[in-house]
Amino acid sequence: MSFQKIAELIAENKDMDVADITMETTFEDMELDSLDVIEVVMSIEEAFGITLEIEDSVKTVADLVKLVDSLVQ
Amino acid sequence: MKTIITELLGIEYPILQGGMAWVANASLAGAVSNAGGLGIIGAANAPVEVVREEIRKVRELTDKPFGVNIMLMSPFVDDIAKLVIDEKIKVVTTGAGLPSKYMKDWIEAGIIVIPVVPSCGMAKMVQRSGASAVIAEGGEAGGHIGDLNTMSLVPQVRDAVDIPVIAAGGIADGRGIAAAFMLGASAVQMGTRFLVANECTIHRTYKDKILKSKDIDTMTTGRKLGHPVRALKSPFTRAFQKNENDTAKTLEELEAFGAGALRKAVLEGDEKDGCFMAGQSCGLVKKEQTAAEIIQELMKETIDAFNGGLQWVK
Repeated sequence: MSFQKIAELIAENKDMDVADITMETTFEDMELDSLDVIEVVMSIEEAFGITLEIEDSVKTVADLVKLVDSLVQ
Repeated sequence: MKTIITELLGIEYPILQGGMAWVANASLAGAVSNAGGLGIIGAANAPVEVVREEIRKVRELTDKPFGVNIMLMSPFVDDIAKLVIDEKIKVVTTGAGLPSKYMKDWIEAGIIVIPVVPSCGMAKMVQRSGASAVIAEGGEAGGHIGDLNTMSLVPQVRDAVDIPVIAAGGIADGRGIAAAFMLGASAVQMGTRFLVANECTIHRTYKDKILKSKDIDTMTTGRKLGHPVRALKSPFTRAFQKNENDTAKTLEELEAFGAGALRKAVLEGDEKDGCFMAGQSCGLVKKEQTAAEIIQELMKETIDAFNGGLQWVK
């Protein structure tokens, strides 16, 4: 499940409780600024062995999971 | 003075001139390159024809290396990204974001890419995309700035990446350069000091304001918009701050209020509506000199600072 893994990575990066992260959670909810997003992206890339191009349209955890899934398969 | 950066760029002294929007034109960039530093043209929000013209003018002024700074939020960024390839520009610096999507083409064209970074994560990311070096710019700098300050940022970036680090933000004399080297940098980028270079064509009023300014004379605005800007305190920055604190104002209104304010400062010296961008080092900038005099003085001061520092380790 990429959601679980992504949620864990975000939680670790932002020192959050992983239980507070759902598919609907937005970057804004988690107070991720553009620099935080880079940190999260880098840890996801490392964990999944992929390269992510984050567009402005990626706003929620669901968007991120969708993007990661499309690259992993 | 030889460092890994002077060797990489083919310049004499480890000093880059910041690609300041509206300020860093052919006149200034050509003079800095002729003086042995790296002059940089600021493409800012300018259309491609304007930038091409400046590039050609620099080539008339100097046969030494120079660079172009690409502001990634420019509406013309795609065209400018292509222009630097067509014009066979040797060095490209980037600001205001991640240049990842252009880097492959630039590197294939043999361009040395040096992004400005405000954090370790971004430094690692651009290193992975093939950057030759990074400019770690602290929040003491003028114009658009990040959160971390130079003193903390430079050594952390130094540890985060394997490519050379250029320090920027708050450096205006040889003491600053020597300190930057101690933090792990192998060159510096400076903006504010070059605002008063004789070859810098900004309005007389702008230069006078810099020369008169002291340590506490800058402030940042625009945090609410997500891209803070440091400038000299002025009627404009105070009005901007008031608008920023006014919850009735939308972000769009705030953006619109700031639009064109730098141009008014640079071209018209408009003391009321102009935004006179400057770094916290403005209080160190006391006299007008040629770019060559500035660089010679900086190098002498740097060596003096290194030698002076040695007294403590004897």
